[in-house]
Amino acid sequence: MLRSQLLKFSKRFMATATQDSKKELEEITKSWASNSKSDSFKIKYQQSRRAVLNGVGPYGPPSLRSRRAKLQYMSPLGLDEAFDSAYEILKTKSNETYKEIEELDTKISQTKNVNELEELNNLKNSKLVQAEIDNPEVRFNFTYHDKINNDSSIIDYNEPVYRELKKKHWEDYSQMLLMQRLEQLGAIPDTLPTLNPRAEILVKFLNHTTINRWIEPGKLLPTNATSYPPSFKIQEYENVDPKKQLYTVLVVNPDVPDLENDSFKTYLHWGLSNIKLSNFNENFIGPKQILENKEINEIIDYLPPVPEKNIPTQRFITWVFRQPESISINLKNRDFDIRSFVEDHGLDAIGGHIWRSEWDSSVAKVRELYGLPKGTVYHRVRK
Amino acid sequence: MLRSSAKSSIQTLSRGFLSAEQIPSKSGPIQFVRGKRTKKVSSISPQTQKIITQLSVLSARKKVPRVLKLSNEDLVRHDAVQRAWGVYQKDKRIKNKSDLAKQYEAMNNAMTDLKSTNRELYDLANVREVNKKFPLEFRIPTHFPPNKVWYYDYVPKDETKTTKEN
Amino acid sequence: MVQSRSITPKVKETIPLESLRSTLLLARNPIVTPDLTPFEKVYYNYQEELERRLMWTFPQYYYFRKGTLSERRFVAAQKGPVTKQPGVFYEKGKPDVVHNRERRLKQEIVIPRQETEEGSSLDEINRPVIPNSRITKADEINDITSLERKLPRTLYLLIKDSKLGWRLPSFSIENTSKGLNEVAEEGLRKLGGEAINTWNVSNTVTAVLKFQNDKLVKSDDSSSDLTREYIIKSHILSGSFKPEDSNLEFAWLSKEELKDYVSEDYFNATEFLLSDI
Repeated sequence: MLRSQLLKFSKRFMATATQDSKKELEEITKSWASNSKSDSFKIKYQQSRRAVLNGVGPYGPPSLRSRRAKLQYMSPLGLDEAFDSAYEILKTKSNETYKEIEELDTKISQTKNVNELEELNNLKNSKLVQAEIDNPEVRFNFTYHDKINNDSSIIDYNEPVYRELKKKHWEDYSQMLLMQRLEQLGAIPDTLPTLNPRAEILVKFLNHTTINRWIEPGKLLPTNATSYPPSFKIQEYENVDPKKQLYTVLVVNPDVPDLENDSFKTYLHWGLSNIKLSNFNENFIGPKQILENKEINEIIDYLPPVPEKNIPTQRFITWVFRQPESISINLKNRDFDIRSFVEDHGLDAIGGHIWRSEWDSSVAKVRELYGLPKGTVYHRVRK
Repeated sequence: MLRSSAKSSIQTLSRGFLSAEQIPSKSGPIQFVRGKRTKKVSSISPQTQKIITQLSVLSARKKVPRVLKLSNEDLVRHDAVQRAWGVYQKDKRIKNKSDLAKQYEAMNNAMTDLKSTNRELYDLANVREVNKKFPLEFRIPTHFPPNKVWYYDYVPKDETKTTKEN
Repeated sequence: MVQSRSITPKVKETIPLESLRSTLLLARNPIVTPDLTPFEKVYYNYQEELERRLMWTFPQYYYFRKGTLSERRFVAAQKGPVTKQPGVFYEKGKPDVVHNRERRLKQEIVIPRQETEEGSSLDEINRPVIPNSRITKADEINDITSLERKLPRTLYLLIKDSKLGWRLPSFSIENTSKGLNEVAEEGLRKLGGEAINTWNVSNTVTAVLKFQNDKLVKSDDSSSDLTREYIIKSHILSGSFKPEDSNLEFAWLSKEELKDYVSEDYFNATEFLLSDI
């Protein structure tokens, strides 16, 4: 009896499947504020757009994958009418904000005082955020799509709204995690005194097969993973001009043993300066970008982590700074005093990252690869 | 005594009786079993049972519905509704505050103006009315109007008459 | 108990008493709760639906005991959810029914209503409650002079002046023995008869309107030939405004309607004194 029921049900299923494509779905009549221009403020996938603006239709929400889940889903009662009224209210508010922005634009074109101009620009930015932050399509785009490896047609960080949303998302977890790791591992007083994080720094090691993802700050990485230089993503949240701003990246290791003084010294494992990001989306600095961009100055070439056995875990702290002007230094000596360097060049620390390294079985290979002298222990010692 | 088959999917619940249609033909005709005790002899006293029922009413057991799960699209719509409500309430609140501020400012200006215009009238306007309260006839708005919406037959109290002494 | 007047030497007033007037803002408070805006209605409805969806199942076993007559009536009145039967395909998913409630939906309870016998008197305690309409006859005819119009709104008394048009009733001040509030109240009764029960909010002036040659000027203007109107607030509690002079046009208007009757300047100067509810 069950089998016959199943057959009947599957036939009905097939019938509805063909009917779906023939039935016409509701037209989307709603539209956001008249001055809202960017394509990233709309939902790209039309089914989702219809579901958000007109309501989940008879075929179920597009976000649910299985046919069964789609059919079983029931929207809460009263939501459709409430949303229609709510959308109108939010839309009216947005239109008002865009009018204020127009007035601000005329003011900006008239002022000449630099300080006032900066203030007005900041105000304009916050108004641009305010105009779109209630847009349900923007919120949908941000919440349900990849934030880090973003598709700029969906999440465009050149728009102040998406930057603001990402900033809040960062402050909610990642920023706190970073500061916790920096403080607990002692990176903060040991290298620079403190950090006021204004940009999100993401670190990745591209070449390794198993660890090709964004590194969590404080992670203990195997030496073969860090054998080649890392890649960075600098996500700025403040209102900087991405076409003019220059950045410096320093990878610093404060745990190099200094046998003469029976203490530790700091080495500069890698330094890059005069980095320019083309815009808020294209902010990835990998081997390709370094090769292509001739302006990037390598302060010192990359020395991979090659810890000796039995020394404490070494910390590798990535510091990212905003440069006021070009830096074309090329250092030869790895002994590094980061505080004096920062002071000499007027660098402004905006973000950081940290990973750790220990002696493992790959250290010998990495030393050989870079032509470094053999370590005091280079194979397992039998007792 | 009727014996309901425990394995069938009949939902007896709190219905006091079983109608014939409810029993599927699958289980066959109703069986009457003589002599078997079907009413449960409870070892709990009726007073304790009463307390147990009361506690069960207060407890959440078996009364809580399923967690309301919204799809991504519906969640975004719900958030939009909540934000719009917040915006609406904020506007209302700001307007109220600004009206109050304007009223205060107007009062202040008017009294300052009166002071410079006519000192005697100002002094009379500034007299502190001690024990001034809302009148008893002030009506609190209801959802629906009373049978007699407005009292037209007001007769002002004659103040020349002396109060009645008992 | 009257506080003693401030001891100041009587300075000769350069401003004549004839240029000062006392205006009365007489308000009829709402009789009925305010109407909900369309958004409020829709929002409250949504919130109520959410609450019903998340509400605990009604403990029928406690309120309608097993075996009682009331339980039988109650059960007969309920529709009841679709229960789970083996071998049946449910498109919307298998039902999850506990205590006669589908757990994925709100519970719909039908309260059994006894049918009333014919010829039941109006005084019976069990008669159904039929509320009075919020829209009165005066609303239907749109009688501006009626106090029973627009029950959810505050109405204000306006009088049509022959020269100046529609404005709040204002009265001239004869001497300085009476306060502005007393002048306003007495003036009102002279115009509209004694049968008005009002409650004066305070002797303090709420606002001042300054006129120069019958045109409204800014409140910080201090030229010499200004007419000043001091607004006093009062509420009407019962009775009505019945002018003896049949030519006197008066109206009880809400804030939005006042805007259409009164000049733009006048409205802008008094708008914040008027209630939105």
